[in-house]
Amino acid sequence: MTALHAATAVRAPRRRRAAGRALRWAATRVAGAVFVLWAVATLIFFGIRLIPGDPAEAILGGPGSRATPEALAQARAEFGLDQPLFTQYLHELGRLATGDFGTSYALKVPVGQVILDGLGSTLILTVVSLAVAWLFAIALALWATRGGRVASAVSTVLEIVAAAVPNFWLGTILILLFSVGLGWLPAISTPGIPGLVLPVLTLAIPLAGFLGQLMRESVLNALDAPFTVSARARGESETGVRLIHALRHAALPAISLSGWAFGSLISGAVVVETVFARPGLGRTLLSAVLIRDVPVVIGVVMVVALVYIVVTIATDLADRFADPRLRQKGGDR
Amino acid sequence: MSGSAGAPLLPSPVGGERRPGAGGGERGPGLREPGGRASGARRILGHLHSTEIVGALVLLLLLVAALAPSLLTATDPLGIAPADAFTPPSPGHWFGTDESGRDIFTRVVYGARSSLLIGVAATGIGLVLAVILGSLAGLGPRGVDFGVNRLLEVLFAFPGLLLALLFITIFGPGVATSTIAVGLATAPGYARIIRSEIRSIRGSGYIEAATVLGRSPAQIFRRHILPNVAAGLFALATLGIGQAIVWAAALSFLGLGAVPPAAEWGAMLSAGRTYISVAWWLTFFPGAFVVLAAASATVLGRSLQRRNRER
Amino acid sequence: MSERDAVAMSERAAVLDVRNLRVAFRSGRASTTVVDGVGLRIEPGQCLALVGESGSGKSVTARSILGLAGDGARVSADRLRVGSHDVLTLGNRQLRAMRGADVGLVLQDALVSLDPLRTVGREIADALRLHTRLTPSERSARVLQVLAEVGVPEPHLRARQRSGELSGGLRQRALIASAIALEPSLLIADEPTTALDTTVQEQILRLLERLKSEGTGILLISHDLAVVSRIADTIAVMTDGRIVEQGPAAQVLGDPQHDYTRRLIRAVPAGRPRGTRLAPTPSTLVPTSPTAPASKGPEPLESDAIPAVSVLSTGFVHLAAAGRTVALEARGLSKSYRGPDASRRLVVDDVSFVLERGRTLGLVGESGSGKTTTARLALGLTAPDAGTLTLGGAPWSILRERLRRPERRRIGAIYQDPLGSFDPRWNVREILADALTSGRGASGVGGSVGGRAALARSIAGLLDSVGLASALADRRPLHLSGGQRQRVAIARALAPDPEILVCDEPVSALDVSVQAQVLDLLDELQRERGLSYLFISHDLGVVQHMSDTVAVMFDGRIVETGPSADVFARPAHEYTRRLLEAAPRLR
Repeated sequence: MTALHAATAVRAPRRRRAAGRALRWAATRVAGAVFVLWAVATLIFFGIRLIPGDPAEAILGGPGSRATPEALAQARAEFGLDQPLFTQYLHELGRLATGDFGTSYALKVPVGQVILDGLGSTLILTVVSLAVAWLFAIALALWATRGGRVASAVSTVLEIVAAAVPNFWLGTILILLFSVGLGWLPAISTPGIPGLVLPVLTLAIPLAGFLGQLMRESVLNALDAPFTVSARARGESETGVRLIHALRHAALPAISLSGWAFGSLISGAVVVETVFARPGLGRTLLSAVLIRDVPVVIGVVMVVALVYIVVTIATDLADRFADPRLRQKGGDR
Repeated sequence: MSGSAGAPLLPSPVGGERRPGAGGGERGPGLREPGGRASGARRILGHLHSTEIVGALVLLLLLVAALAPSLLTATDPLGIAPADAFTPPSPGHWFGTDESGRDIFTRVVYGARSSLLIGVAATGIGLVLAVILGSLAGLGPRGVDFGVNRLLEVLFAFPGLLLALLFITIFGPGVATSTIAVGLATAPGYARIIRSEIRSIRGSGYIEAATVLGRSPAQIFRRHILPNVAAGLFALATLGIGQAIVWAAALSFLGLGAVPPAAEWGAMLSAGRTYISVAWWLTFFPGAFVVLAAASATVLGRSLQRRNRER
Repeated sequence: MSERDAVAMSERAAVLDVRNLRVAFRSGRASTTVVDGVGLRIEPGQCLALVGESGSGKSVTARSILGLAGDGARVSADRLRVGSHDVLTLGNRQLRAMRGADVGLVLQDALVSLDPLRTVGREIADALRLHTRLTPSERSARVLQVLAEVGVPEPHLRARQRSGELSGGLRQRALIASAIALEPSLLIADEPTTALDTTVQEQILRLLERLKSEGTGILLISHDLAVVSRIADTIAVMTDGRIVEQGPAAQVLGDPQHDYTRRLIRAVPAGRPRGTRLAPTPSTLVPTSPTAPASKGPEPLESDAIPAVSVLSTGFVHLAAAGRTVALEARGLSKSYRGPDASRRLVVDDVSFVLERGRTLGLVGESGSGKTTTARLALGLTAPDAGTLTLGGAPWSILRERLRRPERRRIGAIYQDPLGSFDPRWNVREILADALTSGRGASGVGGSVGGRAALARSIAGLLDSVGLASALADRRPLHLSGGQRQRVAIARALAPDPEILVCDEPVSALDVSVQAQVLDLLDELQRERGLSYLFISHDLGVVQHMSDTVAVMFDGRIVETGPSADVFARPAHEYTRRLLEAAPRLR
């Protein structure tokens, strides 16, 4: 009759229920991802129709190209632009679902090929940047919580750097310092490790400032929490308290935000790849935007959305792994 | 677009939710007896106070530059003097001159206007959209909240400036489109903050207390929800201006916003990159002012947020 | 054996020996002394209880013994010995070797006092890892053994769970296990039962009692004299950083010498007949400086400035005049909520009660028994799935919100957390002005000059009736003490001149002496205004003192109800009996 007995009675099916929860969580997430991808594709498809002017003209090189009516008609037929809008939409969805992004207006090669050419380089850049930012952030958080005037000044500076130093300027300054000034590293991102250093730093420093600031705050909270008092009273050293207890709590918000951070890194790659003349998805996207190569823009944006969604699910998974409390609650955050 | 650009969207990492003395005579072990951390808190507060003043001064100066640039410089921002090309920073030209001999200092001063204007306008657009979406989700029935949340999720799938780039693809580059684009791109983040703010206020004890007193939903909205959200909104707007300045400069830098020879910081920086090995000042100063403007807006916005919390 | 040898013997025997302990905190250039000349002595198998209210310095004392007073603390003492260690001369490494091995610490709430991200097994094993050379498998064997010792059933399962997955009682046992894994000769327990339900509290106290009988010396820190009287051999009463009285438990409780001790004992509501004052009469209270804001940390001793309140000698005049009409009646109320895994949980199950006008109905039960949901139903904040509520005989729960709203002024509420119930932008004046104008359409605050003056008078009157100085009107609740906040909450509830107040754990967050003042105030207001109270609390003593009728809730049902005196004297239901047995009382 006590609550205690009741708890013992329901414990048996607990494991099964936990499995059910995990399954339901996964199903919700996958369904959500599919929905978002569909919505993104739809949004882009109809958004693109808002572009003033004739798409066929764009295919043939813009209004300046003075294409003949025959050529325009041919281009329309070739790209299915003479079909009713809804048919075009269904076609588009069907093609996207099979991974066919069409043909680049400018390059006249399949968009899938264009994307594959740039994707690897951009993923390397962003993943390495994320890893470096995490390392910096952990070091900063642990160091800046030692207390004192310096630490609080550091935290203020971090906050400002994270929010106010744009990548394009940071990259330029790094080039001025290490390429033009000291001549240590190439200003143009060549293949290989040396060419990666400056772009990675450009992306990682502001992100590290942001993550570090976030972690600093949660380390401080954890160091204030009763469980660290318990740990100290057990004989744990300050280092032990930080490494065993505080760091794990500090990592939680940073893990949750890593999906967002990865997305902002991909978007930051547009700038960084331009600054360092580094081939990649970002530069591909930028040049496509500049010349309105619509299939390439759609393709890149769709791929980025897909990558972003996958990474978000991955961070949610990591979140649930790092924080068992999340596993007990329902699927949603 | 910078890895940082979204940072101000998130709740302030500094200061924390530690309400001073929440519960004067509560029982339990006095975890925080007098002394200890209180002195630290005061030191941080005092520390921020001076940065606040600096931030406000910088913004004020930029405002003067934006409204009356001729007060700060007598030179013409577009005036060419080929003989003076590539003069390094010197008493005559504080920030040096560019490839056509135009005075960088003058151009930076005149650039304040377009940067601030874009920052304010883009933030305005973003916040208006966000307030509409956020209050629909925060105040509306569950179905509306669900719908808005899905829409926000879709918009979040365009990380950073991607939404802005898409918008520019559709409507073409230029100052106006890039301003709207930045506003659009920042709206989802704000909307989510506003929604959760409204939700948390709606769930708070004082709303229940007002209901018990017999206040109608309309009165509760007017007397409690609106003013409490508005206080946070003002801080959010200040932070947003800093962020929008950075983003707009990034678009100009990419050649999608203002175009050289216009005196705009991002465009100046972009143009100066050609001469990076011979004239560092062409890129350094415009960028430094982007940082200065964004940093001071961030500092002010953060301290506003802190004050809201500590009241 | 010479006298000197005897002294040496006893000194060797003590597990804790503190003389003239002083702790001061530096903040900037100023220095605040929070512990001033404390002396304590505990021998093996003895329990010394350190009793005091928040801010008295008792927790700092405990932490100083462990060398954990904090960075800004200056600790000095003529003697500070734990067993054979001289704490003040130990270096960091030696201190760490002492902590956990020679002295264990148990804090208030295991939910946050054990790392919520780690299993309790690992938390307990940490102590072994730090102090012994046991292999991992030996460690986990010992962990299971300790868990079994503290009475955790199925230790191999529990060891793999985290504090959040365990019930309050089990995780508190796990916390104790982590403190005694190395069998320290001294256990410091800082409010070890404060967050627990009455019956669970009893179990934990029994566990501490057993540890004591096995030879562990215990320093028990608590705000609650009744809890302490259960197991303490010696009681030390602390206030303002000093120990004002110390002696054998029976002597301190039975024949208190110091005025503060007497006040504390008097403030305990358990067993005090209804209508008797718990706090000294207001005139004997010395108001502390009203400018000390709560944000400076807990105040030394809560004593709100109270202008003289006339104590009605006539007693329950209004009651007689009012007859026995019904203020609020519930019939067959049920309410269920959907849980996180889509299962419905019946929170309130067929609850019926009658609240008579001018009287108090006490609703007592442990956490999760459905008390708060019942309060929300009574306030019309949530609609019952089944059953009805009537307010003064008229329909209430079935009314549509639009029709109910004008009637809301008749039933007010005060909560456990008054601070959260105030709009953070408002000061006391604005809060009260809002409440005063709430029933009068949308006109808002003060239209005409005359209206404004009348409003100001009403505000001053309200503040006066709850014993607050009108100078406090310009303060924000954040800058008030806990007791003052609750008084403001009461003033707000009184503003629309209600018939009924729903009081949901109104004193649970307050220190004993402040609790006494607030309870006295509620009592006076009831007599003056003929209010009816639905008084909800987990604290049997408080309910007994306040109620005419009592309803005992368990698992969403009212298992027993009747006149307060009857229920407490002759409990009929088994659960009530268990609750009463477990309730700590002064003995």
